[in-house]
Amino acid sequence: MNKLKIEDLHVKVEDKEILKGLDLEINPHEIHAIMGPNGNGKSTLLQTIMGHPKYIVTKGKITFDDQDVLAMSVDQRSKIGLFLGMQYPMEIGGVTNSDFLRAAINARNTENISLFKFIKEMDANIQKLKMKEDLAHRFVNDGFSGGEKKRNEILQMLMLKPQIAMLDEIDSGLDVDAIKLVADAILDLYAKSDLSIMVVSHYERFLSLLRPTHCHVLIDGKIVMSGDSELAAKIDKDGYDWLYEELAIAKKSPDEAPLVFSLGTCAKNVRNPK
Amino acid sequence: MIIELNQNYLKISDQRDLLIKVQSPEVHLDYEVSTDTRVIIINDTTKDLHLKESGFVTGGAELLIAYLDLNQGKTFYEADIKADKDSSLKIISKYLCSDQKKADLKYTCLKERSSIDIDNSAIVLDDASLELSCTGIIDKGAKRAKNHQSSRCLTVGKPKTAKIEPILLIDEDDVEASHSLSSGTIDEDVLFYMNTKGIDYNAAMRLFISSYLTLDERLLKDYPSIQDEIRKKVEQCLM
Repeated sequence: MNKLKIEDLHVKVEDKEILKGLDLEINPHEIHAIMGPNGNGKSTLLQTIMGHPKYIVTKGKITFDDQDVLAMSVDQRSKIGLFLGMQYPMEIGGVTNSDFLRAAINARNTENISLFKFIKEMDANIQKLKMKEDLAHRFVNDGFSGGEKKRNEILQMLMLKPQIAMLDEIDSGLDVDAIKLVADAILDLYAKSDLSIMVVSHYERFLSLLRPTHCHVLIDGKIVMSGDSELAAKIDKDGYDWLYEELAIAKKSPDEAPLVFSLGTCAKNVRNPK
Repeated sequence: MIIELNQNYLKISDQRDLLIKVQSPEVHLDYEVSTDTRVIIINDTTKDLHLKESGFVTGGAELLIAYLDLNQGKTFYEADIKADKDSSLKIISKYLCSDQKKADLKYTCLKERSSIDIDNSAIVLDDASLELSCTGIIDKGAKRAKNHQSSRCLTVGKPKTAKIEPILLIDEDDVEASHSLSSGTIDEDVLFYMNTKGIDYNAAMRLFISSYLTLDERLLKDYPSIQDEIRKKVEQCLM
């Protein structure tokens, strides 16, 4: 069935409420584009669905095929078919892409994938994404350019074959040719499976390649408008100002800019970093 | 060639390819190498080990020494090896610390264009301790020498001590030298990233332990039985 349902979702980070009652339903084989100005909750939405521990759900429900997603650990969410292609993929020195992916594939299957099948599949996907041939033996994202890291996320998606792929600004850092390549790879998997996609992007170019079936604008923690790919085109042409006016939404003041933080560091949260 | 070493002293000179399973509690390996030589040393004692290495690599040769210590006892590892003109030394050392491991390692570039590259990895378990001092030395006169070292240490649980001292002593200009050290537990951001791909904490630990402790397959390609043995030992560590 592969139906993701989000109802009245409220999420806070530390003491700041980011999502303020968000509703969204994603059915099998749909492509949803999530748009909106920076700092209004797009990445928060994806990170919350995936279970980032910094994002606290204070109210609402997320279900996947009627299973309570919020009750699951992060790895369980992945195993039921949710995939997050990250905006800032982590570097993991010492762990090769090959070992990493085999562990990820084996984690979701009762039987381990055979080495022969794994290599064959990985090589084919490396070629499809025009990545370096030695990728399998390189450490995960270690020393990768921004574009290579994003392609590597897509490689992981192709190998893990999720039910719902959430792609957080996966097109940033990619040049024009790479954007086409990545979009083609995503659409190829989409055509061959029941995959549904949630994509956060600021660029109409990427969205026009993916041809979303639905488009949503997220402002101040809520979806304020939904439509189809024409809405994405209009936003690309006219920006968001018309939406603020039409819907009578007050713009955020600069001191309400997004919180920037990282897990596991002693750095204080930084507001408006200079 | 595989040697099961039960004696206290072994002279190593130009044996090209050697795998030594150290079984004696006190061993001195003495190198005098002038052709490319590769030595893999595995701590195969049932209890404690005091391993001492000394010697030279000369004649433009390359000496590679890989040391693997998955033993559960205490280890004291001393090394003082020098590279002569145009010669090079490649050091790989890997430790699993479930007790007390101590290493005092010195590698010296003696003459022009000598080269040293050191790569230390360690996993320090709950209640265990590691004290590793690694000194790269470039002597006066060793122009255009290279002396690089990197060390990484992963702590699991609450070790007593996890101390690595990367030291460089340079007495010549016109050289290349570097040292790097990373030490700590698994980064939470990295763990979240792995979790998002379905890799839970235990599987993540397996990946890290395996990456820290497994010797490059190319080094062991001629020793398939040893490769299996090491794999089993690493797997035991994961239990």
